[in-house]
Parts: sequence; structure tokens; C-alpha cells
Amino acid sequence: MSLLQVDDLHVTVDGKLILKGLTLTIEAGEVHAIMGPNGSGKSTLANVLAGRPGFEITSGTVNFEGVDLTPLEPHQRAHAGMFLAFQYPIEIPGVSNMEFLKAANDSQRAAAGLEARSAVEFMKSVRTLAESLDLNPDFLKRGVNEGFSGGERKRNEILQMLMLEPKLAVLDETDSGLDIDALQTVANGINRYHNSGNAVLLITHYQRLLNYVVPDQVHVLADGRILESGDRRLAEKLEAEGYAWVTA
Amino acid sequence: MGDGVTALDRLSSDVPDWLDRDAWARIKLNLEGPGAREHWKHSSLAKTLEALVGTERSVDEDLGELPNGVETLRFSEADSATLEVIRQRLAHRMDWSRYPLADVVNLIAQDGWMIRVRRSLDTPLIIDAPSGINSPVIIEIAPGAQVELHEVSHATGVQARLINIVIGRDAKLVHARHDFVSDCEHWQLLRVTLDDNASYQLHSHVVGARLRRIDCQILLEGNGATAELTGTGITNDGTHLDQRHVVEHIGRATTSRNKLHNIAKGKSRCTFNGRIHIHAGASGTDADLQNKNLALHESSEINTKPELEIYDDDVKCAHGATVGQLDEHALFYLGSRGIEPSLAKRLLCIGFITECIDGPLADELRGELLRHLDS
Ligand SMILES: Nc1ncnc2c1ncn2[C@@H]1O[C@H](COP(=O)(O)OP(=O)(O)OP(=O)(O)O)[C@@H](O)[C@H]1O
Ligand SMILES: [Mg+2]
Repeated sequence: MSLLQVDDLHVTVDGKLILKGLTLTIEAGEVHAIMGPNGSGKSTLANVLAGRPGFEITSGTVNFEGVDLTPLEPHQRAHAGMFLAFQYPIEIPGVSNMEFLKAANDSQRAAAGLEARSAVEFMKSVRTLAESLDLNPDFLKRGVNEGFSGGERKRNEILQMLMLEPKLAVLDETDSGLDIDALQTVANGINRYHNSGNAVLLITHYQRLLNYVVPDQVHVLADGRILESGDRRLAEKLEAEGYAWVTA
Repeated sequence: MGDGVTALDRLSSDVPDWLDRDAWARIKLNLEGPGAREHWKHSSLAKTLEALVGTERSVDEDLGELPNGVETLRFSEADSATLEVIRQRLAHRMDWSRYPLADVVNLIAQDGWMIRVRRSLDTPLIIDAPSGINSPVIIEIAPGAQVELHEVSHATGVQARLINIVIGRDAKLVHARHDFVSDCEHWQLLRVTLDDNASYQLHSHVVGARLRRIDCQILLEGNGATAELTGTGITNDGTHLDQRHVVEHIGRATTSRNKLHNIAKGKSRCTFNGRIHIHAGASGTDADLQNKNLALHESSEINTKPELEIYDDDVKCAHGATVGQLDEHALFYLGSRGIEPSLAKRLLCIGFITECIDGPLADELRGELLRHLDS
């Protein structure tokens, strides 16, 4: 049984067909990368997996560890082990990042039948995570993503991934907008998270991240479908030659 | 309004020395006037009047232990010079047509308190308002003094308060107030006059009641005076909240900030009317008024209306008023982290009001507001 099995997926947004028969299989222990032109449907796939309202599956199937994901609400998918690092993380003024992380952690644990961790113990572990991602602990007191720089938001997403320890982490352009050091930090975070029991789906425009987080498979998503798959050399070819040869 | 006016028959005909002789005539005129109709669009003036005239003046008024540097005087004990000061204070830039109930309160109370703060205080000045018609209060802050005022109330039933604050040159007042009792009918008028470079900060946190109407008039008279008004309001099912801020920029280079977030729940009515009036000659004014509202249910009614009146060219003035529901993107973000919808909604509501919780009573407030959010 695959960790994620997407078959012939068709998705419309506001009545417009965006995904047009997408098929993708990810096994536990793997790293996959999806590349593709702007507007090809990469974030749409990520959002559909996470259960964003407004994305309608018109045909095809999505199974996660053999279970049909489609009837599940976003929080139930998270409990099942799905995680999405947002391309554009949302600001929530007035809710401190720490409060948010604790609520997420408590919910996740409650769903797994575990007791909430004590506030002190939890805060300590989050601070340690923050330090490992070069995030100033001060940012834990601020509103969720409020006034965070682009790079801080992305690292905050990685922090959440490390805290929640999902089975599948879908990282939607988490490498975009990062400086060279931050990219390295984020890549270290991903590698620290990744093990034989979980999987990573990287959505990226740049081959650079793939030097640090080595993918088992690289896919080209264009016009709502996966048109090409290969190993990491495919990413290098795309970087050198662009997408024209795939979409032609 | 006809019923309300007959209610006036129950009012004492004695006009105390500290009040204008024509107070009676003024009440009758203003209760019927167009000003009152306009300003009492979302709360019933007749019912409020009825409630007030059916209520005794407060008997258990006690200013308690006053900090060093504070002197008090009953209006009834004032000498003639002080009486004149009191009359002037009460009438100063007072718009009786907008606040016709002020005279009603004055007539029921028959007496008032003059509170003079002579210098900076080490401990806050505390007003714990009892039920009934409270004596009108005038608070004078001496030039240069730094003062903190806490105005709280735990009273049920009918309650009225008139608070008139005068902040001297270079003085600073931080005013934290809250009303968390829903089982009441409450009207109050808060008027604050600022001298040169005086500064006033209001942190006001309230919940709806059977009737709650709070009027607030800020007079930025002195050059360089600043006022910052922050607040939250929560109306639960079956409650009513109507707040009105009038900020008048009169002196040169004055600044005002209004930031209010309200949440309306169930079948309730929540109103905010913010008015910025920039007088001719108030050049260099910098005014900003922001009011955001969340309606949590279909039947939650929200009224918000910013009003601007500007008679000077050299001013900066921004305002915004929004009525909305919880942000879907934020709900999805929280959901994607495993937070179930009811908790996600609660977190967003907490965030929304936390943005406006500040000031000396902030910590105690937050818990209290959360209790009202959850009830
Ligand atoms: N609400 C919507 N209504 C109509 N079209 C939409 C809506 N949301 C997204 N789309 C369209 O769907 C297509 C795919 O968008 P998507 O965000 O998945 O692209 P992407 O591959 O992630 O692009 P990028 O590389 O720029 O992030 C785009 O053409 C976009 O305009
Ligand atoms: Mg995208």
C-alpha cells in the first residue's frame, strides 16, 4: 500500500478545470519533487491534498495509506498525517505563534489519543526547534506570521512540520525567497525530518534545493498533468533547457 | 418620545446650584429635537430615559482610599467661585442636543464630585461605579502630572455615569475601563478635554447588556494634544451595545487614534459610531479611526458608521470600518495544522480582540473577555 496514491485526478476551481488527469504515487521513505511552469497547477495539487475548500474533485481518486482522503476535512487530514507548507503562509494577528503551535500540537496529540504536553516542556521544545532554524525565539511571541519576513514565514512552516511530524510533507515553494544560508537551514530541517517512515513532496522552481534534499523522483507538472518523470538529472535538464521540450 | 417626556414628571424640579437654571427647559427641548433622534438611532432614547427617571441616585458611592495628591470636594460644598468653575466645566463645548440625558442625570443626582489630581500618582485612581444614578464627576489633572485611572463596575440594574475629565498642559492620563456585567441598563457620557501637549489613552473593554450606550467626546483643544482610544466590545445573544466616539480636533497639530474591534454573537446588536470633527484652524491634525467588526451569526446585527467633518485643509485623516465574518483562509490554515473548526474559530476571535487589548488591566481583561466569548 502506497503512502499517497493519486489517480487520474481532475479538479476544478471556480468552475475552471485546473488538474486534468494527474497521477502520482509516493511511497514511504521517498522524496519527490514537482517542477513546472507558473500556473500549471502545482499549488492546486497541494491544496487539494490538504483539503482546501473551493477545490472540487470532479473525477479521479486520492488515497492516503489506502484511505480515501476526499471526504475528510482539513484537520482530519492533518490528523491522518498530511502536512502542507503553504506557498503563502497566512497572517493571524492577535494569536501568538506559540499559542498557535500549542493549539496545533494539542489537537494533533488529542487525535492520536495522547495527552497535551505541559506548557513548559512544550515551549522548551519549540524554542529548541526555532533555534535549529535560526529563528529568533522572540518571533514565538508575535502574532502568527505577523510582520514576518518572507524567509521567516517559510522557516516557520518548516518548524511546524518538524513539530507535527507528519507522514507526508508537501512543501509548496518553501525554498522561494530564501537567502543562501536560509536555504541551507531549511534543507537541513527537511533532512532532519525525513526518514524511512515518511515522505516529502517538494514543489519547487529551482534545482538548487535538490542539491541539498536529494529527490528519488522528479516530475514535470504542466497543463494540469504530469508530463514527464525521472531522477534528479531531470531537474538539471529543466534548469538548463526550460520546459519547452516537455510541453511541446 | 411622547411617553418619555411624561416620564419627566417623575423628575425632581429642584435645579441644584451647580447646574444652569435652564436645565429643565433644555431637557424638554433636546429630547424632542432632531439631534437626539439622529444620535439615538440604534438605542431607544425613550427606554433609556424611562429607565433613568425610574432610578434613584446611587447611595453607596464611595471613592475609597484615594492616592496621595488627590483632593475631593462635593459640588454641594463648593464655594461660589468653585460653583462657577463647575458650571463652566459641565457646559464647556457641551452639545446638549446630542446628550439630552446628561441633564436628566444631573437632576436625579443633585450632587457631584470634584476630584483634583495635583501631581503624578504612584497608584491608580479608581472609580468603582455602583448601581443607580452616579453623581457626575469632574476630574482635573494638574499640568505635567502622570496619572492612571481605572474605571470599573460590577453593578447590575440601571446605571448612569457622567465623567468629565480635564487634562492639564503636558499631563498624561491612561484610562482603563471595563464593563462586564450584562444584567444591566447602562448609559454613560465620558468627556475629556486636553490642554497643550496633554495626552490621553483610553483602553475600554465592554460587553453588551440589556442596554448599554457609551458616549465619548474628546476635545483636543491644546496644541499638540494626543488621544489614543482602543477598545473591544462583545455582544452575546440578547444583548445590546451602542458606542459613540466624537473626537474634536481644535488646537494645532493634534493627533487622534481610534481602534475598536467588536464581535457580535447570536441575536445581538452592536453599534459603533465614530466621528472626527476637525475644526477650522486645527492645522496639522493627524486623525485615524479604524473599526472592525465580526458578525458570528446570521442574526448578529452590526452598525458602523465613520463620520468626518473637516474644516481645515492642512490635515491628515484616515478612517476605515469593516463588517465581516471569520477569514476562510485563516480557518483553512489552522485546520491544516490539525486544529478542529470550533477551536480554529475561537482562536481567530481571540486574535481579533487581542489586537485591541492593551493597557494596565490587559491581563485581567483577557480572561474576562474570553469568558464572554465562550458563553
Ligand atoms: N479561484 C480561482 N479561480 C480561477 N482560477 C484559479 C483560481 N485559483 C487558481 N486558479 C488558476 O489555476 C491555475 C493553477 O494555479 P496554481 O496556483 O495551482 O499554479 P502553480 O503551478 O502553483 O503556479 P506558481 O508556480 O505560480 O505558484 C492558474 O491558472 C490560476 O490562475
Ligand atoms: Mg504555486
